[in-house]
Amino acid sequence: MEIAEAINELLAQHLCKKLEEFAKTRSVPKDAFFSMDHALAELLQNLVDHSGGNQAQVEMDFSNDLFKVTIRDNGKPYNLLDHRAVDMSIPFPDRPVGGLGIHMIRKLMDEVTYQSSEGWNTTVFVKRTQASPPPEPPFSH
Amino acid sequence: MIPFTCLTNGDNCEIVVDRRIDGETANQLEIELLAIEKTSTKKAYINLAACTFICSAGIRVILQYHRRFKTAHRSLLVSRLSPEADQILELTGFKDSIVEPNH
Repeated sequence: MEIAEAINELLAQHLCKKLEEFAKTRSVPKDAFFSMDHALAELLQNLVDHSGGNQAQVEMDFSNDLFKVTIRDNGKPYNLLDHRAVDMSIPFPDRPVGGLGIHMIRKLMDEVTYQSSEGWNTTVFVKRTQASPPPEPPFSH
Repeated sequence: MIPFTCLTNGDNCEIVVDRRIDGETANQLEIELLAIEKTSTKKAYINLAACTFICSAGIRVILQYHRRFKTAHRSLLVSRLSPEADQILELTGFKDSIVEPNH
C-alpha cells in the first residue's frame, strides 16, 4: 500500500489513520502496530516541523511477520540515526527533553535505515512480530 | 471531538484524556494546562486510563508543566495509566518522575 501526501500540519494525523486502517485490514499484531504508529507519527511530525519539503510518500507492508514502513520525502537530508541518543543517566530535573521523538523511534523499532538520493530521503522502519527472528544489528545505515 | 475533559474538585483538578495525545492534542493540552495554572488549583492530574497514544510533543508538554507546577509548590502528575501509556512513559525514562505514586 503506497500513499502520496503533501507535507502539512495534518500529515501525521492523516497517515497514522491510514496506518491504522492498513493494520486492521492486514491483521498486524497489536504490539507491532502500537510501535509503528508512534514511530511513524514522530518521523512525520519531524518532516512537518523541520524538513522544508512539500511531498511525502509512505509505503506500508506486512509480510513474513515483518511490519515495514518506508517513508520518502523531498525535504532537507536528515538521518535521524545521526542524532545523539538521549542521556538517560542525567537525573530527571536536569534531563533535556529535546530528542525525545528520535529516542522513542530508536526504542520502538527493530531496524531503522536511511538513505538520501537525488533530492529524496528514504527512511525505512521495520518492526518484527514475536514469531520473526530477533533483529541483528538493531540499527544500520 | 473534544480530546479530553476537565473535572475540578476544590483545589484538585483532573484532565481525562480520550484516546490519543498527538501533535494537535498536545497543543490543546498545553492550552488547558495553562488555564489551570492560572487558577488556584494545587494538585492537577492527567488521567491516562483511556489513552493509547502519546507522542513526544505530548510528553514534552506534560514535563514542562510538571516542572512549572513544582516550581510553584503545586503538583501535576499523570495517573491511571493505560498499558500503552505506561509503556511509552517507561521507555522515555520519565515514568517514575511524573506518575502519581499510587496510580
